[in-house]
Amino acid sequence: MLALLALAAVSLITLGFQAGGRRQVAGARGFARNLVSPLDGVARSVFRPVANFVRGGLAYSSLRDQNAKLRSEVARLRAMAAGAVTTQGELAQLAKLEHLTFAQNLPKIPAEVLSGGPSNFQLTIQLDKGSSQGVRSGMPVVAGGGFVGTVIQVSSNRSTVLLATDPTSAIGVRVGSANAALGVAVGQGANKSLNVQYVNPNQRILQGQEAVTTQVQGGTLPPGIPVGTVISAHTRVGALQQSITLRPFVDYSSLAFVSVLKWIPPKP
Amino acid sequence: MIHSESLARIRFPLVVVVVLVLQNTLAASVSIAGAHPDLLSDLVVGTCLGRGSRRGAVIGFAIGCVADLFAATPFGLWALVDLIVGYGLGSVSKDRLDNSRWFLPLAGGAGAGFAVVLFALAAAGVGVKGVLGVHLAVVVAVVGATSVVLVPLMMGLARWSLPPEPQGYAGAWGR
Repeated sequence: MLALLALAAVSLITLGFQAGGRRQVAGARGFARNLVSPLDGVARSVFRPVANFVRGGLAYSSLRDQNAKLRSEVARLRAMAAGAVTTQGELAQLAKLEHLTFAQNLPKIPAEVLSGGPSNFQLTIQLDKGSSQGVRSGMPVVAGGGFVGTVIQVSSNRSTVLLATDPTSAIGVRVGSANAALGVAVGQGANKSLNVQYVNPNQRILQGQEAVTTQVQGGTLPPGIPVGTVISAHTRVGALQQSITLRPFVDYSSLAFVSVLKWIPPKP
Repeated sequence: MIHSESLARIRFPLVVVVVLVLQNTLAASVSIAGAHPDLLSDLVVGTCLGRGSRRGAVIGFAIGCVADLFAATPFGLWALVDLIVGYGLGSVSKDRLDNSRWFLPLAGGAGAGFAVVLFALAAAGVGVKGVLGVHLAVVVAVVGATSVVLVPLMMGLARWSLPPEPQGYAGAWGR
């Protein structure tokens, strides 16, 4: 009996790695989510106050600090607001010059973040929009700050997004504007920076430069979505690539609303 | 009118669905150092403890399949892990559970922690990145600690929804 069940489990794992099997698994997962989603919705509204209470209790001291920081941040941002008009004008001009797809108003599906993923081992979020609203697997998800992640599972009214900070996430990025360096930004876990790999060691990367998505080398995202800022860049002696870390623009701990970009990755 | 026997049959699947919904809503929203309680693992541990190896394996496999439907990791991983955990915990003597006050919470915490480690190893084995590391230690600590409290509750639910086999029964589920 044990051997049979173990064989069945291994067969299921193998099936999931085959193209046809992957479709069947995605279909089964979508069906199961559709079945549970009405209950899920009710439970979410019932347990939201409980979850907020527990979360608040667990993070009381950090919330108090965060509140103080936010107050000073608001004051600073008010001072910066005057200069923002000029910056926006510059950005619009740059967008025209660079033909940034991100700035060209791709159709968007606004969505609410329902919760984090149920698993402890994948950094995902659940959205309240699914295939009925036009969400498809592979679509990029953005927030006010920039790139959030990619849709990996879709049911009719729910979708799962793999965050850019998940270690299995890898996105093609362009760092800097003039003589931009190309690389792949890989997640390193929750509340951690992104690691940009495969960047030419001779390319000059400066702290504070911005990284955006790129479509070069078979990238599966529309180009020009802001990803993060360079925190550090250095090359070890004899290394074949630079070691670059990025601070994501998006604060993943406080995501409430996001936009799914109606963009289907090109087939290779 | 629904017969009470039919009601008894749907009790356990109903418990699994309720626990699943609680996992997706309540537990997923409560993060302690980046990890959250794993109610489905707690249900596997609470249900399988002392029920016999074979029965534990079948129950573990079934709950694992349900967990896989709602995970983003390769399908079948939780089924395999919960099958092994269910088999192991099923072999625990029922007398031991009844005679020691501390055995159940400790076995619950250890069992759920072991399930998490086994899952991480299996996931790494099939190529899932980033599952082994410091985060794993945090997840094991959080899941293990919460399971000390949650497994006895799950065992209570399991005893209500899934009655033990009649005395002397050694059929398909026999030890």
